[in-house]
Amino acid sequence: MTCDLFTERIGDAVDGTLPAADDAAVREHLARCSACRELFDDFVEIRRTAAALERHEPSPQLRDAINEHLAFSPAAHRTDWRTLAMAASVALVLGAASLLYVAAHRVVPEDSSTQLANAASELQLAEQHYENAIAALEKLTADRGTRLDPQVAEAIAQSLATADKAIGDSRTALKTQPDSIVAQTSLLEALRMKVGLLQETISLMHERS
Amino acid sequence: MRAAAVPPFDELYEQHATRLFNLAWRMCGTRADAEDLLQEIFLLVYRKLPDFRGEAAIGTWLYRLAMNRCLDHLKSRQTRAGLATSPLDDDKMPGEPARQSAGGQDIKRIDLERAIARLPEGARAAFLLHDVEGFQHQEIAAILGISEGTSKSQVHKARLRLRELLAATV
Repeated sequence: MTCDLFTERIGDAVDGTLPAADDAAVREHLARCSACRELFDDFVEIRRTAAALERHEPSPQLRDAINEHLAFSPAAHRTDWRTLAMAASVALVLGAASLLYVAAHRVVPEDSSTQLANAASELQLAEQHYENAIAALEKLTADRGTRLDPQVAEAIAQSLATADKAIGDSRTALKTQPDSIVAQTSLLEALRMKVGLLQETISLMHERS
Repeated sequence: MRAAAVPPFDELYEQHATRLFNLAWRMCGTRADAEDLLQEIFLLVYRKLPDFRGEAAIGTWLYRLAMNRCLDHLKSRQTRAGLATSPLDDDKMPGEPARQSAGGQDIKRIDLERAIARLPEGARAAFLLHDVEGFQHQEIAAILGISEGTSKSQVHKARLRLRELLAATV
């Protein structure tokens, strides 16, 4: 067998990837052929030196620069589901506490009846706006249970249930105190949260599709 | 298919940044280029991480993104310099196996670094991944989008060319 036929197999022999019989044949050839033995030795040396080349470290500032970029990246603002669930719970607790406070310290409004009517009308408009958005988003996310990771779908369901409870509590409070700014704000916050949750759900569904 | 578990971004950086940085440096030649590329690579990784579906190992996926970015960088640099070479071509390689010996003595690391920088891109990429970073040919094939046989052949040609270049320094 000529040296040329051994040349590529010498590389495999250096890497230790030849089957035993082929490796033995190469070694036998190396014992007889000084040119191929030189090639083998050089390859071993190149491989050994390459594996021992210096490892350079990127500067620590580089990591800071990447983190800074990420902080301004739109994707970086995607909320973690645990955060969303916690935010919903916090909103619920704060909303309920505010409503209890208002109930206990009910203040007779000083606004005129016209101002009250205007405020109620604006609230109704805003509420309707959110309800329309929620209805549309709920249609788009109806099959989330089958299109998302079960754990994520469960976290979303829990967060939506929390938001729904906050919406329900706020509406109950508004029935007894229609002029309460706190109750109105709580309702709008809860509706806004539900819209946000459904929008995040759609984003996640798109990422999975 | 259920997506494979993806490590947190910070963990990916801890595990792979140094290795990717060295790879980018040796592929592209300067520390400044390597730092720019590392930043671009990790921003790209962050953007694409949600799309990672686990068909490949996360390491293979990450190095594929990185090598593609390095090769794109070299390509645009060559375009700017008016050169036209394909990233994985081997037309600069010797047609015949080199017969010069590196001298049968210890190779200085600085000489090897210089010689690696003179390899054609395809051979350099395969050599860096195999002999410097320790990837197997099967992994290199996935990273560079070539066959396992081509990976072997590129590493072999790189070693032959390095041997020639190093012989000239002895």
